[in-house]
Amino acid sequence: MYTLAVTLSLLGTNGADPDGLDFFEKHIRPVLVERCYRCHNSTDQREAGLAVDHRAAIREGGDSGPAVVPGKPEESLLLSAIRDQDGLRMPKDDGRLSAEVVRDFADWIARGAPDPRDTPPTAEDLVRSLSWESLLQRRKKWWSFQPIVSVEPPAASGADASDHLVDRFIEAKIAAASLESAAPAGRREIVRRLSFVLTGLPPEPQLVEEFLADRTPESYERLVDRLLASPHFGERWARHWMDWFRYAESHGSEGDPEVPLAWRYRDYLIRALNADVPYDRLVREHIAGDLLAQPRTRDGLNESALGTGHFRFVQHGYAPTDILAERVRFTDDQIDVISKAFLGLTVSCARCHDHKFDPISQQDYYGLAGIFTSWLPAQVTLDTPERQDLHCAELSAMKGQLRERLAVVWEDAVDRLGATLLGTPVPPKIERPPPKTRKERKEARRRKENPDIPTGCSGALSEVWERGARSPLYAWVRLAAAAPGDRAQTWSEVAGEYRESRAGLERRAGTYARRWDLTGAAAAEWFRGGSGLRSGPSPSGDFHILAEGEQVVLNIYPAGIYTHLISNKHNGVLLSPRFQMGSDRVWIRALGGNYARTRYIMQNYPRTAGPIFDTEYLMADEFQWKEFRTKYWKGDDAHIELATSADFPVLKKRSGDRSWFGVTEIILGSEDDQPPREEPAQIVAPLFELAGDDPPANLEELAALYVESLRRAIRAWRTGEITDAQASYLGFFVKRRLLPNTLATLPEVEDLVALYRAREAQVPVPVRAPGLLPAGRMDHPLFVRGNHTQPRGVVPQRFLEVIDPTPYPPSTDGRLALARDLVRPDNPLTARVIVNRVWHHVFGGGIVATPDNFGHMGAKPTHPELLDALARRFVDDGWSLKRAIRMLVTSRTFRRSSVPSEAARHIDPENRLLSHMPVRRLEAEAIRDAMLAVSGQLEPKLFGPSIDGKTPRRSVYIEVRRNDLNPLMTTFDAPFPFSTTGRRTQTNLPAQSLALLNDPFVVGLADAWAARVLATAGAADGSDRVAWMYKTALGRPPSPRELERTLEFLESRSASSGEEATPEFAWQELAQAIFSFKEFIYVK
Amino acid sequence: MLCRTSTGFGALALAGLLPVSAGGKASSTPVDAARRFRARAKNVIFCYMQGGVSHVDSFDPKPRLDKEAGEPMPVKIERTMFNENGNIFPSPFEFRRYGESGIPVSSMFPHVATCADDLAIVRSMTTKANEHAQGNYAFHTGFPFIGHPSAGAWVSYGLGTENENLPGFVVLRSGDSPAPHGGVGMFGGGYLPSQHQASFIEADKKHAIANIFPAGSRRLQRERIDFIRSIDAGFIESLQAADPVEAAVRNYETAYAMQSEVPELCDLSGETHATKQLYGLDSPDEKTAAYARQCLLARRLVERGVRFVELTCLGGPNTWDQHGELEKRHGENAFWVDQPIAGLLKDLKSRGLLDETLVVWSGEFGRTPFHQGSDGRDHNPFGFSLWLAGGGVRGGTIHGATDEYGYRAIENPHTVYDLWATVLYLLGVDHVDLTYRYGGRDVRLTDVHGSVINEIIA
Repeated sequence: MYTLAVTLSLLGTNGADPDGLDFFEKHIRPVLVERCYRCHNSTDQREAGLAVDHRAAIREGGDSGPAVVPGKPEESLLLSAIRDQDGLRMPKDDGRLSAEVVRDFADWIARGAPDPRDTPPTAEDLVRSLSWESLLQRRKKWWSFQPIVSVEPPAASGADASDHLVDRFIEAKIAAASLESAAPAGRREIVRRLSFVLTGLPPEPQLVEEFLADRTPESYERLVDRLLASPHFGERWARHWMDWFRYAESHGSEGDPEVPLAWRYRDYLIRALNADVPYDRLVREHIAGDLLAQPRTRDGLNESALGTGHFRFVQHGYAPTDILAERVRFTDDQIDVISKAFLGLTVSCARCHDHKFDPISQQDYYGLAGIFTSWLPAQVTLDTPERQDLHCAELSAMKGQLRERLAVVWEDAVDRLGATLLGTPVPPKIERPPPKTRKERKEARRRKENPDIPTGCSGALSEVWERGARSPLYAWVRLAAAAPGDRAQTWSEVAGEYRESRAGLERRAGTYARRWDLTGAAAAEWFRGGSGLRSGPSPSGDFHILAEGEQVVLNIYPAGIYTHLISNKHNGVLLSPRFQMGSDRVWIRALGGNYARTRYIMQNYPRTAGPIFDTEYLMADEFQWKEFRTKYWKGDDAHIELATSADFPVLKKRSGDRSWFGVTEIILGSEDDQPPREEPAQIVAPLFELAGDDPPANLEELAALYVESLRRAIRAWRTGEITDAQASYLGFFVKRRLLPNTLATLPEVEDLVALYRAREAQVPVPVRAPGLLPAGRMDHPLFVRGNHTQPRGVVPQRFLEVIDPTPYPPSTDGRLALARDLVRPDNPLTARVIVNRVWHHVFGGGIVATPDNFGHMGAKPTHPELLDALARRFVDDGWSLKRAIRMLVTSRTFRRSSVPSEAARHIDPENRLLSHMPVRRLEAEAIRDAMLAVSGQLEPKLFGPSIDGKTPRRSVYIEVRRNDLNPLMTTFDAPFPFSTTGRRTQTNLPAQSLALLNDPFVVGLADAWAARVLATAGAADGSDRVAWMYKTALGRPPSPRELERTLEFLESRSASSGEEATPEFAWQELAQAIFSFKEFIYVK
Repeated sequence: MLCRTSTGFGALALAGLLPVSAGGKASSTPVDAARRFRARAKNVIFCYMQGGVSHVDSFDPKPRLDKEAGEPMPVKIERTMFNENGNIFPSPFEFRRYGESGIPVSSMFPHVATCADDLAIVRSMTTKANEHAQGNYAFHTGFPFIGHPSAGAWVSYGLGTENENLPGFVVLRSGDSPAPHGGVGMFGGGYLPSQHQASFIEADKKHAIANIFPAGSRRLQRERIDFIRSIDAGFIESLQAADPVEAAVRNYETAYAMQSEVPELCDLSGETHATKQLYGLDSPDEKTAAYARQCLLARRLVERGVRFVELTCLGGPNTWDQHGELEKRHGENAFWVDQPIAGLLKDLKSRGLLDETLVVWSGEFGRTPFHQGSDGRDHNPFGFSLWLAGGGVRGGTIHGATDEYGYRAIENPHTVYDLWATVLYLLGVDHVDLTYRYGGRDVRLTDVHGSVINEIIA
């Protein structure tokens, strides 16, 4: 080869070797420009005295001598440098030149180093050639960015040649290499191979026998269709997909908190693959399934929204103090996985600088980053609007009727309240000693946050000692306790307190840096999710009907946002707009029950952790101010969130299906501000407003004031004109049953309440899943050298410029736009990447050997035209994965034997031409599943929450907890869930042998299998049993020699000394030995 | 837990059993191509102090803390984990100078102090991680999250093994101590071929390695393996050329050989009473005795050619994390490891092994010079101390410094990348060359950072 090249180069000077010059332009110049010019040029950087930007300089060389000696590769220092010989090592930055490029340089030098560069480039030319625009134009020429071309497959040659698309491409190359394809595999081999590829399970012996018996020409296709239709197909291929999206059910780091309900994403994949949902559809659902105008639905649930679950499989740190760094990192994780999985590109390499090898700029990176940082990791509600609204209209109408009837009853009953008050002595004050023990302190705190609500007049009066002026009965107790002569004075005191409280309330509006009044227009800025927050703020006087028990009405509320006005099964997530934390304090006026919570979110971080990511439970059905100290976080992006118990992205406690909250006001302020407090005026106003300047002369008059103020509140409630204070005031009396509020005392509404409750029982519990909720659109700043403390400019959201640099208009949602761009017809990557992934899993290796990297550092396709033909066919076929798989497994190529010809072994030892079928080891999951299946222990149940490794279900269901990965899976090379894994490593380890020899789980399965052998083949003799075991495990009967050897082994076991020599023991030993057979874990 | 019991057979794998790349060409950079320096050390023993040892209470005395005890910190305090910062907290431990070098060591480590002239203390360490799990991952792998190879795995990958029957990277454990926060992933091999991930040896258990012993007798095991091999022979024949399968078959022999090597390793009956006493194996304190056993096993492992041995502190996943009760609990923790580590250094030295064995001692970060709560310290990633001893290290050295309060490294600040660059250098490997092609990049233990700390090299 070299001799020929050298001879050619001797023929003349530069220009006389047009092929050589062409070679230079194609293979040499781009590498020199990209990898060498920056440090070795004639303009501004001439390291080691060497420039390589024109012919004379490269031949003259630098301090160490000539870089290129035409015709003499071995004397050319440039070659030893890129070969990493003699202590030289170039290029210096990461990424060595590939062996292919090194070969190109050797060839080029050998053929005389033809080089048209007579003069050095001008400074301008140099800058231009090193500019991003110029790099982009050059790098765009990489094969994977070229449009998918339609190439007519090579004609099938020979009489019995296959006309199959795959075979025509594959056979042509085999023939061109003067090789022959291997013989067809045996039918037993084929059914085993096909069963593992399609379902990940060994074929049942009966299936094998049926296939062997079926001699019709269509028998194979029938087998393929049968296996493709198996529900186990989805389980098998979902696991591949989970590798692409580093499926995990916990976030790692300290605490390793779970991603709640992550398994719903896994089930979604299984269902989608079994139903053969088109791939382009699944891609769009992965990016924006929750936003699609026409989602797929199933049982009233938005199936498409489940696709976004993978956004949550990122790792999260525990209580990171540099919270922006945390956001940058987990966003990077999302970009990394999405770009590798769908595009086969390592976009994440462009976080700190333009990509070193591929046409991906740092601008590209931040264009994508903004799309993802516009969304918060969250739990989302899958229920369709119809399911969320189920029975709501009816229940709402019933509430209207109830309000009518209750108002009538209460108006009637309110007269009696005066007498009740007058007839009930004020209980003495109960002195509580200050809490001493830890238990007492805890109880005191609980009582403060979630006070016991008394029922009845005496209790309500007693409660005043704890609540003070926040009880409407405060005035009553004060006056009742005062001597009759002091009552006028006492009234003027309490009335004065009221006026002060009212003034405080009025002042509040103007006091603080920022205030959101969620009863009004400000509510529109907040995001509301969940079935309980379908409508905006409710007006004053709405109320909650209890779903069970003797009491009817839980409470009557002022205007605000509530999740439980129809049912407390309804859920809710309320999110503030993004704001920059500039305040020392956040105060939230809220109520709730059953572990509803509120928290502040810093830089999209979903966890609550330690004191710096605080959270407060909402456990009381009366408004309280929750305070967060946020001075620590000044300057970082923040949100405020309230949610029902199961609706936080990372859960702490949850309690059943019923949880609720209500909120009216959020305040941001400084530590010098007076903290807002629950003002008595917010509840007692009706009494004092009615009294006006006319103080009650005695208790009788005061009782009448209570009665009249309540009557007015009840009337206003009935007509919908009630004020916030009236609602709270009325709610106070109703809640304490000072007005009739039990089934026994409300015969007038008993039937209606029963109806309400019966219907409410049918309100569905919302179904949640991991996903995203809006954080507010942001275009991301570019971080200089990836340093998040150095933002510069803003990059509008957009796709990769190599496909389309047009920014997404602000009116378009970035995720929807990205979802479309990923599958747009002029994006050649998505289709190529997926057909290559399919090929990889069918044939044990891809046409592109690096399925996650179609860039410059990845492998080049062995059969580019075939890859394009498959990609084109795939798209034309409606992006059907099942059809693509069917296409591949019906080729003759797939059905060849694993035995290579002598010639193939020498000419193509890596089997790149696929002249025979590669032998491969089963994946960890398939090994475990095969042992379960063969031993008869496999429970075929599909779907549901994850299991631990000892549960006899398929391995796809084993829980993936980052800090506690299943050791059997990792021993057999299941990947760490941290990035896309399109190709698993495959190792041989003694640990694997030890597991199969001695692992208690494996031993247990062997025992079970032995018991099954003895039970089901009871009457048969030893040979029959052995044959059955071979057929079950290996899909074939034993050879005579194997049978003989196996019977010998059984014999030696039975003859073994000691108590081990039971009949079962020999069969257990055999069962376990078969699990250790290489043929058990390798597929031909 | 049936299945979980297989924890720990990890990857006992050996030279010669090369990974089979699933799709074509091997993706690793051949380590032989790495630039080699003169190797000063052959093995590494890593005494990891999970939880974060307080440097101002151990190897970095700060008199200023005594002078200004109880006063507010006069410098800006960065965000801390618990946001509960108090005032300056002087060390409750006393410092004295030791050896010819006069290196100050606190009363926490009276035994290690007697080895002062062998230690090279780096007082200017920094880390980016402020919490345990991320700190542990960052320290072991260079990255704060699961997925990247542990330093021991890199060393095993880079240098191979000198004992075919033992793994190249061993993590010793005693008692039922859970892994440090973050789990065993920090000892993982990441994307490296899995034979390089850690194998766990339970220092105090009969079954030192999970699944190492068959349920039945060795004879039965032998016969079963022979039977399996006879059937496998037919399979290999039917394939005609299937190297990976043949390699997999050989695994059974290696596994079998290990079954005698590991019990021999763990059998300490040949060690003299004096040796055991030196380490503290006879200590009435269970935890001291248990850690002593780890230290002695570490010596036996490096003697047998294991490249990288990591020891695990007893006392929980977060042993040194004293947000409160610092004096009492730091004192206890130190008591458990002090004599055993000193015993290890002395034993290695007397056997002439210290020259070729590099001992590394560190936690994931230091602790604040100011109070958290009444008697604890919060995490301090801005400055802390570690030390190295043995193989190629200049003993009796102090390198780098924190400010007068021990809050920030101000003189020659270093990162964990510098530590590993130095460790690799001492092992004869240029950290820049120890790469593995993953995700379209040549990834290294030192990411894109790292420079050798020349000042501590002999």
